[in-house]
Amino acid sequence: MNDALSVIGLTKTFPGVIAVNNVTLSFKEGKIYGLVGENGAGKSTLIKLLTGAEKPTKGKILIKGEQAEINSVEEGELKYGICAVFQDDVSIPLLSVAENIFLGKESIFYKNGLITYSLLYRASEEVLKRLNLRIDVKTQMSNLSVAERKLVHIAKAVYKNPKILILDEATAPLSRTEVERLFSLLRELKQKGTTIIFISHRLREVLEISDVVIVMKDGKVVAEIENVNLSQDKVVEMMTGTKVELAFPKRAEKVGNIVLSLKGIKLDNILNNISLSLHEGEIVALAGLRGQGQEKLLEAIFGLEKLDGGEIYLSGKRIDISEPVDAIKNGIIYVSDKRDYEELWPTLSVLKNVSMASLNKRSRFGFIKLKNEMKEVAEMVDFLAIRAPSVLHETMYLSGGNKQKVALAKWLLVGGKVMLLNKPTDGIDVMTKMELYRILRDLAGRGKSILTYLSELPEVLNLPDRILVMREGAIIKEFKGGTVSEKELLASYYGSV
Amino acid sequence: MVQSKLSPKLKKFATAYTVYVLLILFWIASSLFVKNFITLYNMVTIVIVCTSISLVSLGQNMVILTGGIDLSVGAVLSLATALASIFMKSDTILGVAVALAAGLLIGLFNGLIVSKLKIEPFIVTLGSMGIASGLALYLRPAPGGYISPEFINLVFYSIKIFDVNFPITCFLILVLTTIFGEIVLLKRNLGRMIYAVGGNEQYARLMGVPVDRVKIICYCISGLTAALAGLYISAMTRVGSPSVGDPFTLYSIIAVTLGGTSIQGGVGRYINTVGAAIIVASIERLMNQIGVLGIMGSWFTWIVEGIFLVIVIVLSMKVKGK
Repeated sequence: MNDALSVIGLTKTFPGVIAVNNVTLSFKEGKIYGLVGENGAGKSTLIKLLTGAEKPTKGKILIKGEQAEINSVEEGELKYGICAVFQDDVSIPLLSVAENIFLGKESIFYKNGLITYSLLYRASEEVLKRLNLRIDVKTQMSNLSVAERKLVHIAKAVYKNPKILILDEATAPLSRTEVERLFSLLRELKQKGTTIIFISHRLREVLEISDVVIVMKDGKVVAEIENVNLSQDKVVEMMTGTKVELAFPKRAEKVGNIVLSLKGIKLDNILNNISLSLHEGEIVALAGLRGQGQEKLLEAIFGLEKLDGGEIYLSGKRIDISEPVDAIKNGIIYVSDKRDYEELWPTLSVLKNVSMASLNKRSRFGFIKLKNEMKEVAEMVDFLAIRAPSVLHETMYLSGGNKQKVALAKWLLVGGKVMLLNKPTDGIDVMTKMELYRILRDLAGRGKSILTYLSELPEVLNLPDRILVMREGAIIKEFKGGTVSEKELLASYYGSV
Repeated sequence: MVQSKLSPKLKKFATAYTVYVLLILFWIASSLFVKNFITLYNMVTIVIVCTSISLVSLGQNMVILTGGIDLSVGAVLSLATALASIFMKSDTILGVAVALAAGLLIGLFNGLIVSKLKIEPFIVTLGSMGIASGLALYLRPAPGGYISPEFINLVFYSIKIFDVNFPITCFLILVLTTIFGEIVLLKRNLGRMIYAVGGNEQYARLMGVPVDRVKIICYCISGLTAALAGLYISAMTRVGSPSVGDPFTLYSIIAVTLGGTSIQGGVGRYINTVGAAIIVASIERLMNQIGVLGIMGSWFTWIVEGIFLVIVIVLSMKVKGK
């Protein structure tokens, strides 16, 4: 039997970088391949080559043993049945879900040259059914959450009955239940002979679903092994080339006075009478099922939502926060989870991105002290180990983990006391995650107070000093860090403890 | 090939300042087709025209960098000449002050409506263009009025070098405008914030950048520089005129975009806008020299420049797409 897809000596160079270096691989029908590697290992570029989004500099792509020339994503889809869900969100926010699903294929629904919307809607509902999605297909795409949008994209790709399905970081925003639903669908597709390439930083998921694990490092394939008795540690070792300890940093031995306290915070139907306090040097995690108000709470403290009631105290003094500027003035900062379009200026350099929030501190009479700026930013880039060719490099070319660090770096230069972090480790690789945990602990050790929404169980269990479980906009349970088992924690998510 | 021979440093320079490479190519091509194009006299004329375009383009550049556009600059320029030609009768300084105040006011109006009411800059400035145009036409229905000789002498103070009158003040204005623009955009808080607003407005707001204030300041600067250009033009033509500014809206947008500033905002440098302004002035000069203007009137220059704008935008899209 021929391989469904194989590549021989595939190479892609960009000015100054070899993103994919002489990769030879073959993918069989009815198998699931887990593709792993650190940020910048070349996974995404490889996918772009396979889907026709980029053209290889050298090498061949064979489909069923025959050489294929894939000139565009559309051609890959129609001619070769290669469908991909890309890491970046590529939806059109102001169109409806249904219009997004059948974008470019509206002619199917033509009647006398006009789109018949009832048909379009019905077909779209059909598409979403495969994933049991209960989303109104008439709503604007922009009204959906990040996870919902991702699920729509997955449903769209699956509906096309691809021979080869590629999922690039598709599970990053998803909850455990959604991931499980997706996995059962993937297994079903596999039975029917679909080849699936699954890319994720969540090694647990990769090991759960894949038949074969492919490890990339520095643009090369360093390992391709059957997924039998593979451990996460082993995979990480292959990814990094060194043996690493997946150890979380030690918790704080003691914490200081109360820095931030909330009393009876209310927000429409979303937050319901929330009170909490955050001490100096403490990391507190908001946990629970997705969408129980954790993100809204962080946004509300930062002034992105208008409160319907409640008081915020900073070091015992009541403060008023009606917009982000007020929060920043009081030393409260917020790192959003929407890195690409809300947390960066893609066209500006790393230097300008990092420096922007604290511009006034580094200027006199409106003139920026350029030397100081360069020095401080360079120090921060060192501290966070941001990997960029230079600080003058535009941030749009950085990998996800490095973008996240840039977002954090600029806030560190502001020097706030309270840090609100919304899923700070989403979509970044294991090594960077561990680095980030250490950095957060280090910052807490220097007297910062951190309130963060974490979505992955291991980090909720191992990082924070206290865990606040939220459900339906209220804090329903509090645990001291390190005193709770995974089972207990999960049970509390469902409110059954 | 020529390209491979270029040293990396030179190549980097050429990509950062493409418009100057374009300018030199344009000059070479022009002097091949038209005899005596590169003469001291022509160069001085180009500088005189370029100064007015650069002035208008300074404000336009800042506005476009924030992601907006100012269509009222031409009308503001005309209004400034009209006001100057009326108020200079009583006092030169009063004339200058009234013209600048009018520019500032219209800029403030644009800025406030764009930022506070969140209405598309295109619509707002189209409206204020109508207002300024109408006012100019009401105040000075036909070219005329009085521009004080001492003002003209100051703006066009010249010394003779090689039989050509060298306008010192005019050169100085061009150089100072360029330095001002570069310093504000590259070395000052305001400049950094302008890029922040144009690069990602929502995010800039999140980061505590005073987005509304930045926009208002940019439209104010645009109104002011248009009025300054109006004063300059009134000294050049010695009259106030209700429609003299009309082409400057197009000129300024050509200069800014040809200079590499993204029409979406967030990317671009003023020094390149000045380079593009020199190109626009050179086209104007070339048209004059081959006599097109005399035979066919200014509409032909307009057509050429309109075509040029479209070509430039298409080219820049192509380059960005790659």
